[in-house]
Amino acid sequence: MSEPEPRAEELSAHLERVSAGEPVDSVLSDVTDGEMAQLVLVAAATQSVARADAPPVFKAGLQARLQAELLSGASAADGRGERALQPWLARLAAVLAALVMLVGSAVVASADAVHGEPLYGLKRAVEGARLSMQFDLAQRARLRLELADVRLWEIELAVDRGVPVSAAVIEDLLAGLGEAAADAEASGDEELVGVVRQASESSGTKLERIASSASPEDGELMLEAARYLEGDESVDQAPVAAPAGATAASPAASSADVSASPRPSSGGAEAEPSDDAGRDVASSPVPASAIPVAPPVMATAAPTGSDQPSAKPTAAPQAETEAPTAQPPTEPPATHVPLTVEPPTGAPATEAPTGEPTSLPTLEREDQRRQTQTAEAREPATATPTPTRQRIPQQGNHDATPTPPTHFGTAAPTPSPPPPLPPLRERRSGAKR
Amino acid sequence: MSQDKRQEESAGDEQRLVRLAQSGDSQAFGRLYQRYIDRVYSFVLFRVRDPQLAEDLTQEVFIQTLRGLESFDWRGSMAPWILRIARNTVVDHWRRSARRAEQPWSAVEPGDTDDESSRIESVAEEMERSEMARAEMALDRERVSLAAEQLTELQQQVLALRFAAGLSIRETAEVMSRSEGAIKNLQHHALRGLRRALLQSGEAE
Repeated sequence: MSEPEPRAEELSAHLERVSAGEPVDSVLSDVTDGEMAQLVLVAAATQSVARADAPPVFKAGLQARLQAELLSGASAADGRGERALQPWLARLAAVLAALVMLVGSAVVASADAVHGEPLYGLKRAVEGARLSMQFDLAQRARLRLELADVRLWEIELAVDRGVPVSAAVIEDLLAGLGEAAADAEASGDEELVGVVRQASESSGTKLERIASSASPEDGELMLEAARYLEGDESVDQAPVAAPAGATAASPAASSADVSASPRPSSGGAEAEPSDDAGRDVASSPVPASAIPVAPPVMATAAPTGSDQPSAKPTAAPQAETEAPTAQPPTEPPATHVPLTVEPPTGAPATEAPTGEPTSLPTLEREDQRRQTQTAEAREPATATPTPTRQRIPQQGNHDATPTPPTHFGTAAPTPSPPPPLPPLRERRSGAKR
Repeated sequence: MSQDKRQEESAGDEQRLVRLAQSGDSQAFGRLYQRYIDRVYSFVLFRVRDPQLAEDLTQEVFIQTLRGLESFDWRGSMAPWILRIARNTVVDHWRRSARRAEQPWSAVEPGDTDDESSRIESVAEEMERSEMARAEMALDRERVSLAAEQLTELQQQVLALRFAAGLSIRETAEVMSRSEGAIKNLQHHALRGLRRALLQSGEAE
């Protein structure tokens, strides 16, 4: 049985051509009898129905588990240090994997959860798992933009509902955007860097709009975050304070484009191990579509800057409309900036006067208040190991461009001295997660 | 030429990933996993036809892959090795569950010499490469799965390795520990058997 029969050999030759990418029709044109033709057709059809993609959730969960196992084994075997992840990271990955595998339906259900709701922790854990699975930097940057958009949506929803906006969510927004910028730069994709920059600025604009409907306290924090995103030089540190109490009102403006901030700060909210970790524990394919993260209620808004495939921005509920420009509280409400989806380059600069004097004191005060509100700000599954996060992405973006309004300055990834870490992050580090 | 070159590059890349993974690089292992997860899953699903069971067995395959990685000797591709693990995992599963105790595990192949076979063949001869033939062969997964159940274990293995996992003749031969000629014969018999079963099911409808 070792010598192929002539017809078996002939069939094999035909199939070889099909495997090499030749169209079946072309192969069939050289087939001389009906039976052989049918065999080729049966083979082609069998191939087309036999190939199946493993379910994305299963894939991601298994990968996390395997890599966690590999890491725990490797770190025990040798102290390769840098590449090896911390044991806790391996455990975290395993836990996330288990989460992903065991609670598939809950994961789907959690997509709409917002901060403070029971499933919110799970939602964030899934986000973290998605990030940890993604080690293609460009893809991860896009995923971060997508997740930042979800944060914006959560902020807007809180304002719409008239509940206090969690400072943690704002902080996570800034951190996520900063890390998106860092990943984009590290990927070497200049176009993507530009997209992230535009998204960041646009995000600032949206935040301003939302702020106009928020309570004064929340609004101030949001405005400062917005100025930071838009590149206001006077805000040299990521604001991220603790808003908390808020009694927002009205139908907020729209929200969300995707955005990205220059601020790479550490300790993003995603339950993701760490950047290095993310890269290690991860792997590319992560089906951005695998787990719906963006709330279904959101309408899809046009990506801000330009092409932004996966970072598709999900717009908030009652989008593009009025949107009172995020004027500083003291400004007359008359000025309305037409809600634009595109990144504000010039406009926002006027909307958010630099060096707004009111914010800083407020932030300080809020920060203190936040210390007492740790429970509110704490997010269960996002127990991210902030302290061990190693990569502080291109903070360079920040200072790289001396000229506002864009933190990112040019698309060129010029590393520059890291700006000071956000004060609140430091101050609250014990309080938050 | 360019395809050969691509294959060479791909093999070189894979070898590098294997080396890294063997030294504990989880990122490299992640890439290898991504290369093979769908192929392994397809193979297993084709064999067991139960998505949930396919997931369980696929997981088992990769756990074994991970644990055996250190002792894996590079021989030009990882595919035969990992698919062999997959094949053995499926076989072990069936042995454990005794679901297919009656299946012949040896390499004995039927000669395709029965009367029915020749009758159908004569019908097939009449079918040109025409729209009619295509319609006859308009297959769906369910139909193929049912038809494949009528094949011998080895024939099913060949189909699964060749068309679900996408292995070459040489790789399939390596997985099944047979010569390439033997695999070509098995493939031929398998496709003839499948075609016959499909025609039968078509006639029955």
